Amino acid sequence: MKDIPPKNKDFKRNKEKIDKRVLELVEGGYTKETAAKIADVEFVIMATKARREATANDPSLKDEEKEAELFKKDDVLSENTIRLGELLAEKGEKKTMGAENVVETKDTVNPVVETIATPIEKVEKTEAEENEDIMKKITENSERVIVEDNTKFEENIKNIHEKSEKMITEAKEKSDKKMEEIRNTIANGFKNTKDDAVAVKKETTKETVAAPTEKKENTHVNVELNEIEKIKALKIELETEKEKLKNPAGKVEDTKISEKKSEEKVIEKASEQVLLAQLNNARVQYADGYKKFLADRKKDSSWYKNLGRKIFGSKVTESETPQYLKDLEKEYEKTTIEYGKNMYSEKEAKLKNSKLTSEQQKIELKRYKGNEIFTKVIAEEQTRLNALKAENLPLKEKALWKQGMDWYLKQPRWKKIAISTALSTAAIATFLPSSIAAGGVTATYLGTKYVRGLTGSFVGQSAAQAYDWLFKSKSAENREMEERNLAKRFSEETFDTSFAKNKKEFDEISEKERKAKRERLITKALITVAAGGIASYEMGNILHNISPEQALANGDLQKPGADGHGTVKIELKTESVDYSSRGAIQTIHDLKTQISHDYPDITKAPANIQEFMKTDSTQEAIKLGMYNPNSPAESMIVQKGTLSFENGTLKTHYIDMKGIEHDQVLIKGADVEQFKGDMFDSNHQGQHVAPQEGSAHATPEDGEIDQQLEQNQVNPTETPAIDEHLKQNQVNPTETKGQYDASGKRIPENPIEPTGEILQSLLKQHLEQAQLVRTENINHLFGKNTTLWDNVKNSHSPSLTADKIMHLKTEGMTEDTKKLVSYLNKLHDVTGLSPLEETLVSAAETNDEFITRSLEKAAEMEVLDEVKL
Amino acid sequence: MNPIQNNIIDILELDNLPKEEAEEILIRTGTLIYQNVLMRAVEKMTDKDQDDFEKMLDNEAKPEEIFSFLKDKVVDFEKIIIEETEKFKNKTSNIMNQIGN
Repeated sequence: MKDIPPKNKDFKRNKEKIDKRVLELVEGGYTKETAAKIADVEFVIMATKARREATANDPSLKDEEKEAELFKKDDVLSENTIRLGELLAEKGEKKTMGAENVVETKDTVNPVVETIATPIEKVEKTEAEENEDIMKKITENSERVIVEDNTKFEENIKNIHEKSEKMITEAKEKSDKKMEEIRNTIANGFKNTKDDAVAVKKETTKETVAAPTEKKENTHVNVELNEIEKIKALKIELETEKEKLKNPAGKVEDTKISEKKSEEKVIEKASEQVLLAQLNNARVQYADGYKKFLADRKKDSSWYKNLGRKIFGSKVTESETPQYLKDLEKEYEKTTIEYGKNMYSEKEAKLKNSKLTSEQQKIELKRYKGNEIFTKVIAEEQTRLNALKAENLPLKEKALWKQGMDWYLKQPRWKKIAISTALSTAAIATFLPSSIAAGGVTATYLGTKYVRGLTGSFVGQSAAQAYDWLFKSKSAENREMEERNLAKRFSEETFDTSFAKNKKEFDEISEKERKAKRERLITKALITVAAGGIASYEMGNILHNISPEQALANGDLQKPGADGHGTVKIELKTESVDYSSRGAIQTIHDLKTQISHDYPDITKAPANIQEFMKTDSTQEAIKLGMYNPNSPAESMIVQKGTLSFENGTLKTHYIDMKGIEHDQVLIKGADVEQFKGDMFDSNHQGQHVAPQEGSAHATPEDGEIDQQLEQNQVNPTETPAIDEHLKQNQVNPTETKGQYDASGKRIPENPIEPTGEILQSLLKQHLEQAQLVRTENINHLFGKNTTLWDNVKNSHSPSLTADKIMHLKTEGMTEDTKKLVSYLNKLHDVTGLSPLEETLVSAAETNDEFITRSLEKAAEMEVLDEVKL
Repeated sequence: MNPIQNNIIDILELDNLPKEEAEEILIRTGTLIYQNVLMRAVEKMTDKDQDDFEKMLDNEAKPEEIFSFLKDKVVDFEKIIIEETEKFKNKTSNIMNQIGN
């Protein structure tokens, strides 16, 4: 066992030895300057190696600390090794002596350092001998990396296997439990179908007995299949029972139907979990087989001859693919299809229960298949396989491939669309020789069925143009014009909301990219520093719920402006509010207030947040299924929970009235899913279900329902309001017609002395309204050209504060400046407020501060309409 | 098979999707094909071409420069694109056609 060098061991330069080394190098043909540099770099390398070794063996460091330290040292090491190579090459690569002469530790005797500092060559060798030695070292090191890689891979596979098994077991336990519950429900609920229930029970017993035997005989995959079969059988039973329920003779209470529906959902979920586990398992097995195949392939190759390339990753022909790999691939594909089918049938069932017409259902189903199912079963799965293939490329190629992907992902969205269009559509045919693609010219292409079918669509119109841009040579002037046209065509898209979903995933990718950079440096230097592991660049992350834009994000997301040149930076943030005791609409209000605060410039928010802000809160609550004015149980009810936008995805976490926790995604991209929790009758018309104390609908003070508040907040459209101001002005402004006098001021109806809570709410709503108007006004004033606003909004520069800007003479100024000056004056005229000037103890008010303060004042005065632009 | 006759867009029925979704799918498809094409292209390059390619990427070359380079330096680059597109299309077609039909 090696001695462990002391922590933070320091090394000092031995001037005498360095001078000696420089002299040797000069005698060997290097200039004095180069020789000094070489000696210096050699010292750094040797010292870093020793420090690295010390770090690696330091038991006092935590794993993460060690990893970080090693990471840094590896970078230093590889950079200096590259540098050394370059310096040595200045004369014609001549290694005469090791660097042991230029470094010494404070400890006179240190086995580790001595080992490291052992001369590379003590005796000068011939060039052929040197090359052979170098090759040998590289081979040894490379093989060591491969062995270590393989070991890690095996460990990973084992972990994934274990995880899959665990998931399957959990899903099985869950579905067993649910099956039992359902059977009990059936048995208890259908007294006049007792015989059926008994039959079901008998059937179940048979299955239960049969299952363990099968389990012993088959692999876990078969167990999963059994589970699926069981679940399917159970679903059929449920369908049968459902039919019976529809029969009036069944005389079953509505609550039973509801319970059964809920149980069905659970079964569907369990079924999906099993399929997912099965898919993961099939992928892992295929990956395992693929790795094995490549390893076998490598064994059959000449290592020296193929060193570093063309062993892995090359195109695998059909004939050399072994049967076991074909079988695994087939199984993987089959599982993928099963998963897709399950997604499809579940969606189909959902749509059947919707209010959509048959035609609308068909369209939605096609859309779902083309987008969600494609993304899951093709895009994500293919990406994972590509990641696997990339992992098996030689290091240099892998690094280059990764860099090529980085380059692609950094392209603006419109360029990616253009590249994708050119690559993935029939435009590809346009650059083929006519013998390959019959009539493969743009004109013919544009006449195809496909393009005719896409008349007016961006793809059809742009494919040929995209191809021309990419592949055809042309003058710079023409290219520029073409680029402008393309940018315009492809930049008309809305925000890419999907990129706002996965900041966390992006961070992970960034980290992996950082590691990949290190890997490239190491490869360049032809050294192997395997400790710490060589990071994999898992492309799966890129398309796993993440678009290429996400990978581009890096805190500097941009989308082309309307002209294809201007850009708007998208800011990814998380907003979260607790459910208000006053209901869903109030909660949505609260969330909007927070968003207004976090996004002073709403154009920088992801598209679906912008949409959320534009939509009336009541309408939003209806859209999200939290409020249904047409239902007796019209309002959602939870004990407590949160509503949050996480990077553009609206999520809710809540505890229902039974104390069960739930997580649900409500808005993701363009998809909206309705709230799945409980609803109740807040009107108390008929059967009222009183919420429990502390629930989102109970008044916190006394635990009882404050009916007036609830009616105001939860169902403003159906109940007489206690505070008409709140109801009409704040919650549903669209219903306030006729409530204003000729001057535009609201005429209060049945004014009531507001309670403390109402006052607080009022204040909050004033602030919210003011923020909304502020955002709209800024958009109105500057649109997408926010340069001026960006410069002056928070500036404390003496000439740019609000009090100075407001009094500027506007002659000869730009239109934007004139508008700003005019707006500040308008705020002053309506509210009577003036911008605060600089004092000895405080800075002058900025333009944004003054605007915000004035708008809040206007809201309080109920004259906000007068300052709207 | 002439790619014009049977293309990815037909299989995915992108014309049925809203514009934004169609764009997303198109980008994802293009990214997958680009991944595969690039993987084969870097393998086919000579050492010098690899170095030159790396420099271009370092310098953030324009797409047209990148693709011109690949077309010039990688033997049968167009063929690789065709093969990878076909491969992707066939796989996609095989899987997607078995779902929901």
